[in-house]
Amino acid sequence: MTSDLTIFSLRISLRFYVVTVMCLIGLLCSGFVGLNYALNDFGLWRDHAMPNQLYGDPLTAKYLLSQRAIPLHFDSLLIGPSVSANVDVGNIASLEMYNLSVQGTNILRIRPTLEAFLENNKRPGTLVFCLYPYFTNNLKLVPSRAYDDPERSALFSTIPLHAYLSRAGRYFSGEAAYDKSSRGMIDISEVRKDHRPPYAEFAKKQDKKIAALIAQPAFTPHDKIIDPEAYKALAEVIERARLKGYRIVAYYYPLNYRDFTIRQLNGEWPYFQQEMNKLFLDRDVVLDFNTSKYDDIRKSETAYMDNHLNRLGADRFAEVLDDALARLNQR
Amino acid sequence: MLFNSPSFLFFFLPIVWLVFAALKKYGKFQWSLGWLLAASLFFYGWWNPPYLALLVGSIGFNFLAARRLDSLRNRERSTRFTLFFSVGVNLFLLGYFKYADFFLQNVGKLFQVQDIPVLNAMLPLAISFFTFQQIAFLVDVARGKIAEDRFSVYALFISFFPQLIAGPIVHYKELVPQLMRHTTHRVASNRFLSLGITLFGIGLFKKVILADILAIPVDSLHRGIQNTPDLVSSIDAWIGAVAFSFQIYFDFSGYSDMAIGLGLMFGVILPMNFFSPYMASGIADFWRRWHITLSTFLRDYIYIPLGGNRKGRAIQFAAILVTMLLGGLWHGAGWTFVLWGGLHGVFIVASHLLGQKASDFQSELPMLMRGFLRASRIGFTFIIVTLLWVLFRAETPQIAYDIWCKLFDGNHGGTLNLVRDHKVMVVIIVSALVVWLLPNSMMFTHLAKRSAHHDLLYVPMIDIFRKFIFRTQTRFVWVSSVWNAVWVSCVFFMSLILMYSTLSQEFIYFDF
Repeated sequence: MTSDLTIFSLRISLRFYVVTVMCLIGLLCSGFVGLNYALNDFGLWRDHAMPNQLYGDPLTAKYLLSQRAIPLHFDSLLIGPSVSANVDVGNIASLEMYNLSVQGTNILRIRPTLEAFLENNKRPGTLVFCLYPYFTNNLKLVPSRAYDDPERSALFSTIPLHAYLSRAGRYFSGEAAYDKSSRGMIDISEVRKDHRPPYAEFAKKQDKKIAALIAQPAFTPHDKIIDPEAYKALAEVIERARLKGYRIVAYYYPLNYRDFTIRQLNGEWPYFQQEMNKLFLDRDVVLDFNTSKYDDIRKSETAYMDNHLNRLGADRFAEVLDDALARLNQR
Repeated sequence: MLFNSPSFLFFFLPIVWLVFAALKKYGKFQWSLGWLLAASLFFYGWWNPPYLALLVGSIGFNFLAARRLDSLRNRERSTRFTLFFSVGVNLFLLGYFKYADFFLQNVGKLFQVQDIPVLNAMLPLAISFFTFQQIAFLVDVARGKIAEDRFSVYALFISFFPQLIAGPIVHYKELVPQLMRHTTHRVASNRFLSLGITLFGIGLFKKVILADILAIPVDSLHRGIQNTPDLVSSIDAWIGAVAFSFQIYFDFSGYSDMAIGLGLMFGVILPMNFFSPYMASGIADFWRRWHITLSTFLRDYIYIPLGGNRKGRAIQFAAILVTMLLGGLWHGAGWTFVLWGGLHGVFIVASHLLGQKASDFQSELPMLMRGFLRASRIGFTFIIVTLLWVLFRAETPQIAYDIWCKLFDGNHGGTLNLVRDHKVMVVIIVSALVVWLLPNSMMFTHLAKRSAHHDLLYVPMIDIFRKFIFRTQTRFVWVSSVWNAVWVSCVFFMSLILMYSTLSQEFIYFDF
């Protein structure tokens, strides 16, 4: 004989079942929301030291932080995709800068976060844009409830829970938290090092591509290099920042020399540079780190994990960037 | 308005339910139905108010057509003409919004006409569902099976909000008698309410926790194949393909569970729409378990009128192929859908050809071997279905082809590395356990027993394990216990948290 019983069958009446479910849902939700409010991990409700909650969903976290916390502590930003996300701007002494870059984002995706900062920051500083083709590709904005209602989204956010669990996990396994300076750096080499094959393997593939391109030249179509919508968005954001009194600095990301060669051969890089240069005025500053002066990074076999700088390379690059920005400050 | 949106859960549903309950409690039965109709129209209009006129117009036209058919009951030629005309109008409307651009583009390609003008008409939400429901109603009226002379009741039958957007496709006889049952003044029994809440919670969990997270590797795979195919390895392709199999199942069956749960809250049992499709031991069996109300519609209104299995094998196989091609086209205006439907048809024909021989062979085997063989067939069917889902999800047949190639090229050098995304892998494993270990939601909530498809019932793996490990005869089904109240609350809580912290993703079947 079978019976309709569950393992822990503490039977209750049907009416009590409905009441219990409703009450428990209410209790759990209010407890969770209350905890998020008390922790104030995005600095939305009270001032405190710069929060550091970039685990799990860095784009949403940075958007929520841009409402109040980032403008409170910083006047300048580094903006770009993953290739600039792992630059620890804590090493850049020349500016009070936060790294707004997020991996997997282009300008369309990061724009709401940047706009929120421009809206809420009352002390215009410097905006440093990292110019790299991924930043103007055809990725579309991913809608998020945070954009419509940041406060409610923060109250219900699982990002702090994720962050505390990740930190606990990293603490017990002896690993350091990945944003040591609380300035928005997301250390891709540390977060994703095990996702990627060794650089030598990557380099081998790059060399093959170079050989193939030399044997049979092939050019990337222009609309694949720069998405018109993304380009327009970048132009609008830069213009808005200028009107708000920010100093605009842009730099061409130091491509490893193999990647640079490929992009030269397929016509991507010259076209990208030509179009990007049109966005900037004489009073803006555009730096190019793809010259022989920076070959100690670009040609290094130990500075990259693929087309991204690894921790060593990113720290070296932060020094170079700091040096360049410091010289600009002296002008 | 989505079932998994805060506006629905915290405003629309409580208000509609409380007013409906109050009206019923105080004996205002007609008012309660009117209120439900108004709420259903508001629910539809929330998406795009101008298109509410289309829904109301379609309901009005079909009501008049049904009245006319009813009045012509003994005049066969006139009935046939009216039926063809009214079904034709419905199909024209569906064709205009859903297939016109597809048709024009293909005509343009065929005759090599550059810049052929397209309509770019916005697809009205749920048009495929309410069109099919109304066609079924007209056919049943013409056959003399049913008649309805109350416009408000007919309008509620079509627009009843739990099933309006993405089914289950309901027949008149399945819904209206339940709506009109007013012997009791209570909105729904406590049992219905408890089951409704439980089922809604299960559906919400399937959608928000499982399906929406599974969308991540699926999107990564399809984006990767289009933009950076070199970075996609064979394992990535398998993970993405399997993830989509689970995603679409949890997305759509989650919606169906929510719809059935909502129906129960209003005292109505909606028909079962899914019954463990990935437990199917063949493609034909899969279609008896997947989107059951659509399969039943296609069987009753296309396959059987085409001849079914009464006119020999050749006609039967042709009918299967035509039915499945149309079924594919119903899902969307694109060659990927047509091919997807067609290939399913081919596999169903193949399973018919092999089925009898396999069955004879199987019956002679010992029980353990039979079990092993059945498990192998389930696994094989799942792989075939997964491979075909690739086509369903791909934007073009070429992308599907690229993914198929990637699945079997044995390249392990990609850097997309979905296998290292722990969250995704955990959700895939949980999904597999839900699919193959636990009873499905209909069995769990005892609704399968009430269904016409109770022949699909099986013993879930969890009950088999419990029988052998714990020596218990009890089944893993819902009872009103503290334990069930706790886990349902937790499931609701987790879904609500995730729903609020991210944006509610639309249901895949909303596009159809």
